[in-house]
Amino acid sequence: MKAGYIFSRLLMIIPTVLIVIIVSFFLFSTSGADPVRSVLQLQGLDENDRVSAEGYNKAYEEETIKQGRHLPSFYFSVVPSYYPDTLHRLLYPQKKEFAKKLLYRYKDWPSVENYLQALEKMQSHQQIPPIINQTLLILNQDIHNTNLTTLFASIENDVNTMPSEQQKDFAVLKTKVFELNQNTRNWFYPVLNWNGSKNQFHQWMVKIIGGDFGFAMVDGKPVWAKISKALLWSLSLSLLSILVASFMSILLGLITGYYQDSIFDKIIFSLLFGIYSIPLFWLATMMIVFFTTEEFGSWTNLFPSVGLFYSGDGSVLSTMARHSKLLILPIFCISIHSLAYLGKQIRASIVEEKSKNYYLTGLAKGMSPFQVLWKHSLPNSLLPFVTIIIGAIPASLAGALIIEVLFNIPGMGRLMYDSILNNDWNVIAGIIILISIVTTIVYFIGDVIYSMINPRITFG
Amino acid sequence: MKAIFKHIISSLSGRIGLLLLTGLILTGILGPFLIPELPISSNSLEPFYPPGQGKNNYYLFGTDQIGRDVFRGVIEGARWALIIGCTAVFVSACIGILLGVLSGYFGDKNLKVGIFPLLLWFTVALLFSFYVTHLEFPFFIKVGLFLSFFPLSFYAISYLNRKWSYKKNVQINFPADFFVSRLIEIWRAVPALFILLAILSMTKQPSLVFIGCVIGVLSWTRVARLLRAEILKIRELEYIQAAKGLAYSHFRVIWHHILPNSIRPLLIVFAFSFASAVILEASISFLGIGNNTEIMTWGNMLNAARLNYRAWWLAVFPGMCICLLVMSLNLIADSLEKDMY
Repeated sequence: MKAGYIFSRLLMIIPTVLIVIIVSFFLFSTSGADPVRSVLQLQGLDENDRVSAEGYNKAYEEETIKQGRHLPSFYFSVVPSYYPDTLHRLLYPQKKEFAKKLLYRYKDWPSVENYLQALEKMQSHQQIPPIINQTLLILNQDIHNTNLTTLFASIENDVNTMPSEQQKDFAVLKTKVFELNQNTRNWFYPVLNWNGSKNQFHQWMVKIIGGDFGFAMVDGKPVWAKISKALLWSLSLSLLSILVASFMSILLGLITGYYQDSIFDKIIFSLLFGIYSIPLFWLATMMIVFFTTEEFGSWTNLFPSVGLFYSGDGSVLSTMARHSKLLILPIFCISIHSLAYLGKQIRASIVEEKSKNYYLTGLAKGMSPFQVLWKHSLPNSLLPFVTIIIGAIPASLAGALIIEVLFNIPGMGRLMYDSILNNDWNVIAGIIILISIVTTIVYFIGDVIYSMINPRITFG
Repeated sequence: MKAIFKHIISSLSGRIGLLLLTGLILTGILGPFLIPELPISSNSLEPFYPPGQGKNNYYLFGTDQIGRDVFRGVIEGARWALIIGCTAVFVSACIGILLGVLSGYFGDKNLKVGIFPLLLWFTVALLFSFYVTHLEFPFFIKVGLFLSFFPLSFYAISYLNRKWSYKKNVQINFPADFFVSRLIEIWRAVPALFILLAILSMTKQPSLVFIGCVIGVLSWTRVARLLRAEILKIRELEYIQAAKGLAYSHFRVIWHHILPNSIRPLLIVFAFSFASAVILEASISFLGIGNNTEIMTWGNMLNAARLNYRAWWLAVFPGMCICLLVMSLNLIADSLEKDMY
C-alpha cells in the first residue's frame, strides 16, 4: 500500500511538469520574443543596417530554418476556413502579423496574397518619391481605417511623375487593394489541421526533456549553466533562512506555549502578529533605508550596506563564504518574516498538546511542566511542523525574488527579473519549468517524510 | 450574516480590524473627493521634497520623483488597492467556489452525466469559443460572453441530463474530485509571482482591473482547497442528508445549505486573498514591471523610493498603509477563526 502510494504519487509529477512545459511554450510564443533576431544580433548583424539589408534577410531565413521556426507551432491547429495552410511559412514576424491582420479583416487568402505580393514588389523599387513612400507606409499599416479613393486621388500627380515601371507596379497595387475590398467574405467555419510531429513544440519539448534549454538571448551563454548556478544560490539562501527561522520559532513557540496567556506571551504574540502583516519587500526596504547608514543616528548602522555578489569565478559556496557578511541582512529579513508564521503554528500545536491526557499523566508522575513539554509534547507538535517547513521551501524560493533583487543576490529571482526586463524567454521558460520540477519534488518528499514519521496517516 | 458580524465585534481583535478596514474603505471611496489635489511641486532642483516644509503649498508627506503630493497619493492608493483586492477576490471566488463545490460535493463517484448531453456540450463549447475568439468584438465583450456562457451551459447540461435520463441514456461517472485535485496540484507547482511577472511583461500598460483579474486567476486554488475540505466535513452531517432525502436538487442543497454553512472559512480565505492580492500588486509595482506610473498606487511610490533611498517618506507612508490594510484583514480573519468549531 505504502510503496504503491509513493509510486503513484511519483508518477503524478510527470503530467504536472508536462502541462507546465506546454503552458510555458505558449507563453513563450505569445510573448513576441524573437530568438532568431537575438541570435543574429549576437553575431553582430543588425536589422536597421541599410547597407547589408539583403545579407541580413538571407541570414535571417537561414537561421529561422536552422531553429525550426518556419514549422507550425503545435501538433494540431484549429483555424478558420479562410486560413491557408501555408501561413506559417511566412518567416518574418512582422509580415506574418500583417498578413494575419488582413486575413482577419477580409477573410480571403488569394486576394490578400496578391495584395501582399504587389506591395512587396512596389517596395523593392529604388528611389521612390517620398509621398508615394508615405502612402506605402499607410497601406502597410491600416488600410481599413483610411478612405482609399481620396488617398489615391490625392497622389495622382506624383504617380504620373514616376518612371514607367514603377507606375505599372503601382497600378497593379491599386487594383489589388480594391479587389481586397470586393472579395470580403463574412462566413467561415472551423477547420482542424493535423501537423504531425514536425512542429515547433515537439522539437522544443524533445530538447527540454533531453536537458537542452538552449542559449540565453542576451549573452549567448547556455541557459542550463545560468539557471543551475542561480538555483544553487536560491536554494542555499532559502535553506539557511528556513533553518534560522525554524530554530528561532521552536524556541519562541516553546516559551510562549509554556507561559501561555501571560503578559510575556501576549506581547510576543502581538509583536509576531504585527511582523506577519508587514510585506517582506517593505520590511527589507525599511531595513536598508534605516539600518545600513548612520544618517538617522549613530547606532543605526547595524548591518553592512547592500553590496554586489560577483558570481564570476569560483564555486557558489566559496563566493558565498567570501561575502558572508552581505548575507546577514537578507537572511535576517526572510527568517524574521517566516518566524511570525512558524512561531504561531508551533505555539498553537503546543497549546493543543497541553490539553491532552498524557500531559496530565506526565505531571502526575512528578515531572515538571517544562520536562513534559520538552520530552513529550515537543516531538508530537513537531509532526505537523515538518510539512509546514517543507512547504515553506518552494514558497521561500518565490518570495525570495524581491529579496534577491533588492540585495543583488544572483539567484533564481534575480535571474528571472533580469530576463523579464530583457524579454529573454529562453531563460524565463527554463526557470518556470525548473522551478515547477523543484516544487513538485519538494512537495513529494514532504509527503513521503510525513507518511514515514506519522504512522496514523491513511492513504487515499 | 448578522451572526458573523456579531461574532467579529465580540472580540477585541475583530473590533480593531473592522474599525481599521472601515476607515480604509471610507478613505478609498471618499478621500479623493475631500482632499484637494495640490499642484505639482515647482521645486525643480529637488523633486524629492521632504515632508512638512514648503512656502506655497504644505506637502504633509513630501513629494515624489516628479513633485506630486505623497499625501494625496497615499489616499488615492487606498482606492487602487481596494479595486485590486476586490477584483482579485471576486475572480478567485468565482473560480474557486465553482471548482471547490464540484470536487467536494460531488467527489469522484456522484457526478453522473449522460453521454449525449456531455458530447453536445463539448461541441457547443468548442464552436462557441472558436467563433468568439475569431469574431470582431471588443475584448471586454468577449470576456463577458465567456463568463456568461459557462454558467448558462452548466444549467443547460443539467436540464438535458434530467430530461433525457428516462430514455436509454448511457450515463458515465465524471471523476470531478480527481480532475480538480490534479488541477490544483499543477497550479501550485509554479509560484504565482513568477507567472504574474511573465504575463505582465507581455502586456503594455495593463489596467489595475486586468492585474486584479490575473491575480485572481492565479490564486483561486486557496479558495477551492479550503472549500473542498470544508464540504468534505459537512457533507455527511444530518441536515445535508435530510435535504438530500427530501429530493432537493443539487443546486438547492449547495446554494441554500452548504454554502451558507461554510461562510466563515470562506470569509477567512477571502480576507487572506485580499491581503495577498494587495501585497502581490504592490510588489510587482515595486519591481517596476507592468505598472502605470501616471496613477499613484502604493507600490509605485515604493518603487520611487527604491530609486532614491534617501527619500524615506516615500518608503514609509505607503508601506505603512499596506501594513494597516493587511493587518486589519488579518485581525478580522483571526477573530473569525476563534472558536470556530
